[in-house]
Amino acid sequence: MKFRDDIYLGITAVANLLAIYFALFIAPAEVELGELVRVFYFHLPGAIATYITLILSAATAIAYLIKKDYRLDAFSQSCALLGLIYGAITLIGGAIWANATWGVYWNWDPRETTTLILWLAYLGYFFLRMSVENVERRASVSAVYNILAVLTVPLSYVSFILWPSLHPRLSEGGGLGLTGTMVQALLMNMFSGLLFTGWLIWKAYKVQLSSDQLRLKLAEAVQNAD
Amino acid sequence: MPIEPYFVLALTWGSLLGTALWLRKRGADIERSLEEIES
Repeated sequence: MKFRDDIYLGITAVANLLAIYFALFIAPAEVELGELVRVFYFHLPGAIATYITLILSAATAIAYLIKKDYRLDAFSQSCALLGLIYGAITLIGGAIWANATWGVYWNWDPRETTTLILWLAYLGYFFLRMSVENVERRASVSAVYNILAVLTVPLSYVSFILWPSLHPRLSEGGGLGLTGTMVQALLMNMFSGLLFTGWLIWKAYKVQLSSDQLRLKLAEAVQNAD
Repeated sequence: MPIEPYFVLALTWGSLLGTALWLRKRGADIERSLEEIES
């Protein structure tokens, strides 16, 4: 298992290093944005990873409510954790890019604002989990909350349709004049980033299961001592 | 080249690798605690 883990990580590392090299040094500059377009190769995969991990988290939360299997709750929580981390990366990376292209870090653009709402909704998810003591109740309540919180994902995605926005549109290649090599750089970063995300989710899931096991053992030990 | 692409790259990979190391440490700590309880 350890050997397979190392091989997977090795492939992931090589794929990511290649993707980064391609994004920084091989893909050409864009006509309007120039070299700044390279931010896009790291920012967009982060935003997509945020959406994917949170949708996966909510889907697993639905599965938990149906099957009541604690492993599904652990998996859902792990995906949400990664979604929260990717969300923070997307918000901060987006602000850096906004400052370089719009001249301000934050201007309450609909995409920025709705992504912040999404992030706060999932921060609330973890506060909710911390506030409920009973394990089964915590899993059920947070699964229901998760299903509601995931509505912020489509809200963030379609925000530019609902309100006027300066943010580039994903469906139009970010609204940029991306050529073949640029699209390759973007896809390479997206694919290799998702490989590592998969590993992180799996690792977080395993840690969560061990943590649940530890809590059970401690409860047993306390009961036996009484 | 402007500094922003390097900033965003460092932010992204710094956060992801930091998360990986934190998970590894937390996993090892939990395993150790489990072993202590069982022994």
